Order: sequence, then structure tokens, then C-alpha cells
Amino acid sequence: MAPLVSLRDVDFAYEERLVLRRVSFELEAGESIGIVGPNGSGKSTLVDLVDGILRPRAGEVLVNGLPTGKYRRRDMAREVALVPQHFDLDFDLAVREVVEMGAYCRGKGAAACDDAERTLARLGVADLVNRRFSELSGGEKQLVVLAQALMQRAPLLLLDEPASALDVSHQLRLFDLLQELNCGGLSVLCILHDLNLALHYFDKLLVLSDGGVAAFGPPDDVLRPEILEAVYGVRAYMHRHAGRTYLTFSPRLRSKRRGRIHVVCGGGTGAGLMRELVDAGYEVSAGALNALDTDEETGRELGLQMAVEAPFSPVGDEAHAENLELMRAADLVVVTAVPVSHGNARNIGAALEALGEGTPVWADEGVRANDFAGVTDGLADADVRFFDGEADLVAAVLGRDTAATS
Amino acid sequence: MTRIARTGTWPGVLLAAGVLAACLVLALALGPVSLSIGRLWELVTAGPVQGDLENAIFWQIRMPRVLVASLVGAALAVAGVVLQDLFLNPLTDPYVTGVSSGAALGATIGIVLHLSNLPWTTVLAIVGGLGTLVLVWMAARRRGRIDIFVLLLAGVTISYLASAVVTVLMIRASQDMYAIVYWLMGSFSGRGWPDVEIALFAIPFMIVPLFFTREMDILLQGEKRALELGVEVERTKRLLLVTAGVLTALAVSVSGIIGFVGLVVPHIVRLLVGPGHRSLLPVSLLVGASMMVVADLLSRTVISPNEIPVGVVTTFVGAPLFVYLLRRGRGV
Amino acid sequence: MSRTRTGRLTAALLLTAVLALGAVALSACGSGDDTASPSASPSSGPITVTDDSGAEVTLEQAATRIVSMAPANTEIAYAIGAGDKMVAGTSYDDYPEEATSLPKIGDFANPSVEKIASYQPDLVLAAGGIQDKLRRRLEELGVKVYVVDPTAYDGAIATIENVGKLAGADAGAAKVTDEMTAAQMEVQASVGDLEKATTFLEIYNKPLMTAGSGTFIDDMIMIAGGENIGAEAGSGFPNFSTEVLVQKDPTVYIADSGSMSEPGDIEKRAGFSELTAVKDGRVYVIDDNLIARPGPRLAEGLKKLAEMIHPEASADQ
Repeated sequence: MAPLVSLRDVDFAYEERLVLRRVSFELEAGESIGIVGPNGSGKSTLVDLVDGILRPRAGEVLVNGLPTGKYRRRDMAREVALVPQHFDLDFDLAVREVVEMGAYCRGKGAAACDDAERTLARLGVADLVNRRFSELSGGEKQLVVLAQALMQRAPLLLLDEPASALDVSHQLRLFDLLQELNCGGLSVLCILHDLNLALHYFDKLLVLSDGGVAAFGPPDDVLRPEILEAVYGVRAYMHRHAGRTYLTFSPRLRSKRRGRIHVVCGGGTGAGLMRELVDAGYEVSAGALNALDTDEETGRELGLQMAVEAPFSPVGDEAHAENLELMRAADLVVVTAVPVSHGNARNIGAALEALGEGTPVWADEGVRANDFAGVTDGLADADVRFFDGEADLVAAVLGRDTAATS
Repeated sequence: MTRIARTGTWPGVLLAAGVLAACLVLALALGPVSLSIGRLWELVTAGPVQGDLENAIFWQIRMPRVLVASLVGAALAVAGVVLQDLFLNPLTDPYVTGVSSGAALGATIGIVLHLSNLPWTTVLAIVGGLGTLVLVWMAARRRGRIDIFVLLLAGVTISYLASAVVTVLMIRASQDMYAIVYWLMGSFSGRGWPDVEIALFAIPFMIVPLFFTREMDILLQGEKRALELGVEVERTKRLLLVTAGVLTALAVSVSGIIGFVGLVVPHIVRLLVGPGHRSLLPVSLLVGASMMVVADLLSRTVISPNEIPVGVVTTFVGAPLFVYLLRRGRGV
Repeated sequence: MSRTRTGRLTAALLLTAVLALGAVALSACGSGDDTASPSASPSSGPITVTDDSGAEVTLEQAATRIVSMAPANTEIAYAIGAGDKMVAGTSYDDYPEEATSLPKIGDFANPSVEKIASYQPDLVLAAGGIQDKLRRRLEELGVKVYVVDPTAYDGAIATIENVGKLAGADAGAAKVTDEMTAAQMEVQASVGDLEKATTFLEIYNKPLMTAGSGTFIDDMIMIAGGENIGAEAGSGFPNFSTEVLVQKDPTVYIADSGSMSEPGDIEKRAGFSELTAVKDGRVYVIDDNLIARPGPRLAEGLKKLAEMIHPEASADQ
């Protein structure tokens, strides 16, 4: 079956400025697709192209297999309804009248008396029906305009940041409603900024960046930290919680790389430190860790380079070699208060080797307390700097740079 | 803010029709020769007859004059509504497209060439007005679309140009200066049945917008939103612009440039019945007619036998009214 | 030798011929004017008169270079025999014939002050009303201005007398004023006893404009035996309601030619079919130059008005 919407190699430019380049994607009937991307990446332009408001400079935009240019406005309004982000209404109309405007494309007499009320009720704002539109709050206006669009009864709903003025409860309510409508057969193409909502409410996501398609596919595939970093220029972290994935972000603080630090940890002792160092702008590596170890999971979430060994296995030659490589590439090696046993004793040896090659090594004093393999004395004999607890260690690491630069 | 007719159009329309009827009766009865209601009825039923001075005054002077005034008032009010909502600017009056200046130029040429036989000055005014509409239209076309903003600029520019030419003509033909100035000020003095015939052409153009009330309502949200909701915006704009232009040209050619009615009546009516065009258009039509008929009545009775140009009356009455409306807040 | 002599003779003959022709031409100029000799310059002392704006105008001696700012004033100057002293007029000066060849200083509403001054006139004949501002500017430039703006027929006579004094053409002026006075007396004699006929004088058609009270036209209508219904609309040239016109139903309807109306058209106007004047065929057109210009031709205008207002009086004669 032909897709409901199809874009093929679409270019669009305002005057001379190219806003979209070679954009292609398809929306099948019944799908819900979210459009995300930084400001100025062309999202609103794309939506206007789908609705036939704009014509592509190159390529084609097809709705139901027909180019948008071939549609009369009324017919287009019956196929595609758009919920804009901004709407102007300086004149003083009643909400009912505004909502009923949506029925225009369906012909004369299409709006039954209570149609408007019913649509508003679905959005949970039936009480607005007799108010004056100009008296409403931003969020209420947004819902009224959505109701107006729903009155078109079009099989495809386009939305341009429909939740931007809504409070959290109304936001979720809105997206739940969209999902409900989608389940009932309504196709949805929605621009939004909130990436977590994007993760959860859409079959597919289209990531636009600088006028081009950076990624298109199921949310989990598309909203990966690497892609997000490339597109948005921020550090993205994925978290798993109660079976769902969440994203958090931190800005890249300094464009200048502060340096590279390798963390020897395990069992959760390094999680906090790794995050702090990453936030502070360091490039962080870790090892050698066992897969399934909590620190390893954190490292994966943070997208760190790590030397990883199979679960429940002692550090093997390969992992050890990799660990050494990472240490050699680092400016500093930090050892947390990780319990040392036969399985990860080689890590301490690697640290000492790195020290011998000139890489400074700092360690948390607590590592000596949990030494079941008896190797940490070697740390004390060598020129290792000890700190009293994670806080001290972190402070020293962060202070180190300022001391060095001041 | 009082709202007379919130639901449905009929209450407002009927009320406005009633007001117009009352104004018409008043205007037909009052004058240097005052007629009682009974006498009025007699004259109306008798029809135009020879040999009766009162009858002659009523049928040949007053009746056509009042009819022309009501048609012109209605035309200007409708043109005002249409243009205000097309330009989405409450300060728009029907003369903003420059059509009135073009009509004024046409009429001035007619006066200067001493073509004082009735049809000629009026015909030249219509030609001037419509010609300006075409010029302004061509100036505002951008890639198949009519750019409203450019239209406004072109209208203002051509207005100034036409006015400058009129001024030159006035100076060159200074013995006609008084006639030209008087024409420009707007008046219904001396308008007879031939003028009524020309003004009747405005009626179909006043009715046309009534078929586009839904589109005009939607256009209040802006052209883009209207496109999204399914309105053929360009086609609708073209139609409405031509309608407003023709209405203005006809009105100005018959009576000169009468200000404020086209600007203020839409706002007054919006305050009374709201911005929905199903009510706004017909009620504005009726209120515009009423206002003009009353203004004309005042213009010919206050300092009789002298006449105040009706444009002066509408400005004197309209200006304070407008300021009052503005001060009441953004109820427009 | 004979050549030189012939040459000298021819030259002498030619010179004589030219001088003779010149003398004949000069005398021909003044031949129609039998006042030329005696009153070439009657007074040698300063001349003081009061003009129609109430201002005193004093000339040290009779004017020799006159500029006119209105067609009426040009007519006056030529009629009293001071035509040879005219150095410039307005672009509307069309009477008498000679006036059309005068240099122009602009039109009635917008004459050029610089141009006027450039002719170095010692007397400028201005009209009233809009030319008032210009009067001050001209006087600042040292030019003497006399305003012609009579409000009655006698006023016109008096002002022509004054102009005659200023131009050193007293006798010529006296001839004109005598004619004008005679016309008035003639008209008064023939219509003075007759009942006044209500009259409307249309100055302009669209808008309908008439001569109000305080105009010499109004005065002339009265002298000619008419009652000017326009007078009740105010002074000057007010507009007039058609309804009131029909209500007043004047006996006589006179349109001046400047309003471009023909009796045929007037009768067809809305509401006019019921007018007594229309039914009785008492609709006339008068040449506006005879009644609108405060000059010598008012005499003719007065007689014509009398004919129109009281045709029965002239029919008797």
C-alpha cells in the first residue's frame, strides 16, 4: 500500500538560503512519527511542505500518492490537518466559533451543533466552549486550536510543538490523547522538543539536523548518545528505569579538552567519580571491568572507552593489555576504593606499570582497606598519591587542573 | 462590553434594518419643507406627479438624494469591513487602496474640462477609480500572490501621486478650484435619479461578500492558517479586493470623498454584534446607510439654505466617536 | 558725386517718412481718445484715494506703469484710456482685444509677485479676497497697490473714478462713470415702480452657488427690479440648497455663463420642472463677464438683468 506521506529528495530554500536538503522519508497510514532536531533544522518547513503550504524547490512531496501541488486547498484540508505552534487571533471570537472553523473544509453544514463541544471535551476542556478566545491562557488556546484541527477529521494530523505552552499534566494528557487517536487509525506527524516524550510516544522518529535527515527509525535506534551529541552538541546519557529508557543531558562545558583520565574501579565505586569527571569535561576511560558490573554499566551509559572482561571472570590477557593501552593514553590514572581480589588484582599491577612509565597515579586510601589480594602495598611503596575518600579525590582531580593552569 | 446579538444573526440585522427605516423616514420628512408622516405617506403612494411643488421636492430632490446617501453609506461600510479584515488592520478605511484618489483625479479632469453634464464627471471618476485598482493590483502581485502589505504601500503611493496631479489641475484651472474642492469634500447636493442609477450598481457588490462570510471569518486568523484550514486564500483575496475597490469607486464617483464612515462603522458594529461576518456584514451595511442618511440630513438642514459638505459632518461626528471607541479599550 | 547726393537725399526722405509714420501712428493711438491732450497729466501734486479695502493709496504723481492683477481691472484701465500705461496683466485678461497681448504675470489665484515687481510698476490694481496677502508682499517691495473690490454698483463707479485719478485719466474715467450712472438711472426709471420679481442667480451649478448679500451682483439685481433670494443664504457666494430653491420658487432664474448651464439643461434638472420660472419660460443665461467683473461693462450687465427680470418694461419701449 502506498505510504500516506512520501518525501523524495526534497530541497527547500527561502530566497537563497537552503533550509532542507535531500530530505526523504515516508509515513505509512496509521503510523505516528515524531520530528526532532535543533532549532533552525527545518522542522516547521518540513511540516509546511507536507501540508502543501510550501512547494519544494527540488524533489517531490506526495500525499496519498499525489503531489501536494495538485491538491485544492479544501481537499488538502480534508487529508491533512495542521496544528500550528503560533496562532494569531486579534479579533474577539468565541471558542465555539473558532473550533467550528475547522469544519469548513468538510463543506457547508458540516459542523453539528455539539461537534465543537465534543471535540473540546475529548481534550478535557469542554468548559471553554463559550469563552472568548482572546481571554484564554496560552495553553488553553493551544488546546482550542488542536480542537479546531481535529474538526477537520483528516486522516493525518500534523503538529508543530503542540505542547510547548502546556503544563506537565496537560502535556502528558495531550500525548496520551494523540496515542489514543493513533490507535484509532489517525496518522500523526509531530514536531516536538522533549526527547523523552519523543522516545515514548512515537513509532518512529525523524531526526533533522541542519536541513538534512540525521536519522530515521524507531526511537531507540535513533536517539543514541552519539547521534544526539552530533546533532545537538550536548552530552546525552541513557538511563534505564522500570523498563523504560530515559535521557538526560549535560552541556559540554568547555570546548577545550581538559585531559584524559583513566579510572580503575568496579562494584559501583567509580560511578560517581566517572560522572563528575565527564561533567567536568574530561575524557574518561575505565578498566578493567567485568561486564554486568555496575561501573561497567555506568561507563556504557556515559559512552566511555573501557577495557571489559567477561562477567565473573578474572581479568584476562586481552583485557589487561587493553587496560594498559588506555592507561598509557591517559594523563592521569585514578584508583577508587574498589575491593581488590584475585580477579582484578592485575589492574593494580597495570597501574603500577603505567606509573613506572611516567603516568601519575592517584588512589583512594580505601583501596588498601579492601585489599584481598595483598597487592596494594605496592601502591604505597611507589610514588602514588593517596586521598582520603572520593570527595577528596575528586576535589584534587578538579583542583589539579586549576592548580596547573593558575 | 455590551453585545446585542450573540446568538444568530437575525436579531441584529432586524434591529439595524429598523434603525435604517427610521432614519429614512426622518430624512424624507425633514428639510426646508417639513412633511408630516401622513403627508409623507400620501406622497409615497401618489408617486411622482406634475403640478405639485411639494411632490416635486419630495420625488425629484429628496428621494433620490436620500437613496444615494444610503447606497453610498452602505457601500463604504461594506468596503470598510472587507478591507479591515483583509488587511487585518483596524485602522483601514476604504480609501487606503488609492481607489478614491484615482476617482478624484477622474472627476477633477471632468470638472476641468467642463464636462459638467452629469454622467461625464461620474463616469470619469469610476474610470479613474477602477484604473487605480488595476495599477495597485499589478504592483502588488508577487509570484502569483497578492502581497497585502505591498498593496497598501502601492495604494498610498498612488494616492499621493493622484492628489498631486489634482492639485496641479486645481492651480492651473483656478476658476474651477472651488468646484473641485467642493467635490473632493464630498456631498449629496444636487444628486438625482441618474446618480441613483449609478449607485444601484453597488448593490450586487455589497451582496457578494455575504457569500464569503465563513472564509472571511477564517481569514481573521491570518492567511497561512486559512490555507491550512482549506480556504483558497488567493482567490478569496482577489474577489474581496475587487469588490471593495468597485464599491469604493462607485461611492466616490457619485458623492466625492466622504470620510470616516468606512472606518468607524465596522468598529461600531463589531462592538455591537461581534466580529463574525454573518452578522457584521449585513449590519454594517445597514448602519452605514443609516449613518450617511442622517449625516446628509444634518448637512442640508443645520444651516439651511446653505449646506455643509457631508464629509465635514461625518468627520465632525465620526472623529470624536472614534476616539471614544479607542479609549474604551481594545474592544475592536 | 551724384551717388552720394542721391544717397543722402534718399536717407533724408526715408527718415522723414519714418518720422511722419511714427507721428501718425502715435496720434492714431490717441485718436480714439479725445481726452488725450487736455488731461495728459492733470495734477502735478500727490494723489491720495481710499481703495475698496479701506486703505489709503498715495501716488506722488499719476501712474505711468500699471500692472493689473484681475481681468476686471484690466478692463477698467483700458476703458478709462490708461491702456497705454498698462505694462502687464493676468492670463485671463480677454477684454478688450489689446489686453490679450499684454505680458502676463500669472493667473488670478496665483500671480507671481516677482514677476509683478520685475515690471517696475508704479501702480498695481489688485482684486480683493485671496490677493490680500500678495498686497502686503508687494508693498514691502515698494510697489503701490490699489484694491478694486466694490460691494455695490455705486461702489464700482466710485472705484473707477479713483483709478482714473491715480492713472491720470480723470476725464476718461468720468466718461465711463457717466455711462454707468446713466444706465442705472435708465433702468431705475423703467423698472423702479414695478413689483420686485423674485430672482435666483446661479453662479455655479455643481454645487449650486449663488450671489449673496453684500455683492455688487446682489445690488444690481435689486436695481434691476429683482429680489435676490440668494441673499438670505449669507454674504459672498454661498452654496444653496436645491430644495429651498424649489420651495422659494423664484419668478426668474438666471444662470451666468460661467456655470456652463443652458436653459434646456436647467429645465431638466431634478425638481426644476415644477418651478414657475421653468413653466413660464423665464430661464436665462447671462454672460458672466457682464456681471461678475466689477468694471465698466457692469452697465451693460445691469441693462441685461433688467431685461431679463422685467421683460415687460423693455417690451414697452
